[in-house]
Amino acid sequence: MRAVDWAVLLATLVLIVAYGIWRTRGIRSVDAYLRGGSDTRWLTIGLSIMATQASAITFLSTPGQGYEDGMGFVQFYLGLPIAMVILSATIVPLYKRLKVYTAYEYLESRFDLKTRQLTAFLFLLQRGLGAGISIYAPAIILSTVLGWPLHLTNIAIGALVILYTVSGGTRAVNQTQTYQMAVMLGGMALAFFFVLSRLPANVSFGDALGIAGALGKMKVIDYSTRLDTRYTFWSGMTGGLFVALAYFGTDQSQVQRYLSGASLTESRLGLLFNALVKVPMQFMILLVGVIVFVFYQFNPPPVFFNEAELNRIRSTPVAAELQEIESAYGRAFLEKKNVLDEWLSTPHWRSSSPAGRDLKSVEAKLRGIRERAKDLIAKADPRAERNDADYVFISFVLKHFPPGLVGLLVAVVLCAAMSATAAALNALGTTTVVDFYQRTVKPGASNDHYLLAAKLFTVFWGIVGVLFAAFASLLDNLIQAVNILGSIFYGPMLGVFLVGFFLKRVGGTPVFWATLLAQLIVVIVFRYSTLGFLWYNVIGCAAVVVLSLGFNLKRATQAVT
Amino acid sequence: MENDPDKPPLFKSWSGIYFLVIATLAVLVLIFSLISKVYQ
Repeated sequence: MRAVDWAVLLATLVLIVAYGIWRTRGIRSVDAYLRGGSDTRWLTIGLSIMATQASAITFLSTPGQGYEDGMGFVQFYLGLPIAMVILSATIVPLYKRLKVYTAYEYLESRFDLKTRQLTAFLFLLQRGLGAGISIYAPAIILSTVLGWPLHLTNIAIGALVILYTVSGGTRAVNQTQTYQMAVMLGGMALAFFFVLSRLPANVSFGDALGIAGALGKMKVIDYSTRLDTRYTFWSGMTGGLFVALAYFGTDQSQVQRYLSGASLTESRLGLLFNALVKVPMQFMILLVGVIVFVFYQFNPPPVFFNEAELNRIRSTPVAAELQEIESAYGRAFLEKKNVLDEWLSTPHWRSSSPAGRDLKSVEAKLRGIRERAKDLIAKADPRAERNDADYVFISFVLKHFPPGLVGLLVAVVLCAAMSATAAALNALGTTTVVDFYQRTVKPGASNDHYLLAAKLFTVFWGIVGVLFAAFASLLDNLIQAVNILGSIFYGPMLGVFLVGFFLKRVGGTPVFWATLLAQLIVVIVFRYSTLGFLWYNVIGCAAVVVLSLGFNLKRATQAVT
Repeated sequence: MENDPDKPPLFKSWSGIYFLVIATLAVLVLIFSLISKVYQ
């Protein structure tokens, strides 16, 4: 990065953090710290909800996923708007009426203390790990491509986030997220137009979509009913709906955002803003990746996007083999360019045309060579990561973006990391204080005592996140790792809440044991089946509901006999 | 604050705004389906 990039990056990060701390200075009450004083307007809530969900992984992995697999990932989000409507109509009025600080407080009023604390514990477990990944994911990628020291990057991200989250609590998180989201949306919009401007002059936007379509990247909606296909219309509308219901309805990092609303109306509007904006935003981020893919149809791409890894391999005994693969890749690229020119000069709206078929065949050849390179990298270093999808976008940015814009895009990634981590630490600290410390360990203490406890627990979770990030290793595709982790816990958590809302006769003990058993079932399915991870949510949720009914029936039968 | 009338802006009731959200999603799915068909 050049000096101007560093200036843009540091100015963006420091100004947002400093302004957030300054705007929220002098918080003295626990209510203001944990619930933001309940005076937040809908636009801040909406942007804050989006910023909480949009981690750095969103901006690193999603374009990479668009590049590799096309637009299909957007289907994951199709259930989200429906979930927002359901939550706005049901759970938000309930939480606001009960004036709760955490989602899990409701469970004690409906069931009992052990069910509340079990669900809160599941949240702490999955969000604690998630916070570590949200720090680690950008740190590993930025340290690899920019040569930053990994542990220092982890600590720098973690320390900045801890600083303002501890200082201003929920209000600081909401305030900073608003500006961070503005940077993220602005940065990605600029990136989209810049990538488009780098396409050859004779290639229109329509041509670019045509090329992407001919090479299988524009299948946005897949109506197939195969259960092992990860992203389809049906998995999005069911599994995606369950994920969104669970995430926005029971995950304290999101619940805390809309609980800070000045009124029920503001909280509802914040959620519905997310319902309207989220799907188009994800579509656009994926499209950036697809357009980068089109760019690389006219410009030679690297055979492997993690160039630091590639350079390491160049100094091993397989260097000659790698060079041969890179030469073959270069020749295949030129071959494809010729086919592409022919395809562009003929009516090409059908990929089944002869030129379209040639294009597909030469693309398959290039993919095959890329796979050979990945195999070679794995052979030379079995610990090396074969998956380079997370490096596609950042490597494109560093190579092709002008000075200044590079700094802004790195700021986008770091803003996203900080916003997601801050919401997680804020929620982890709040849940630890409200659902465990205040409820069980030290009830009846003063406002100042709980304020201090909330700050200390936030620091504690921040340190846990940084430590987890320090010991984590790169997991498959990072965004999928986060989604899989969430899906393992969200189903049972959602199940508890659904039983609470709709099965009025089921008591605390049946739902408690049902939740434990359902969690075990989901872990077994995750470990031993090839089922798409979105279905874990459905299975976990259904297991809690069915087992709760079963245990309740058994108790009722025993009571009668 | 909690006693403020809970009414959405521009709409008579929340049902109207919920309908808008679902209709927007339906339009997006339709557009996505068309894109998939045109560029397949």
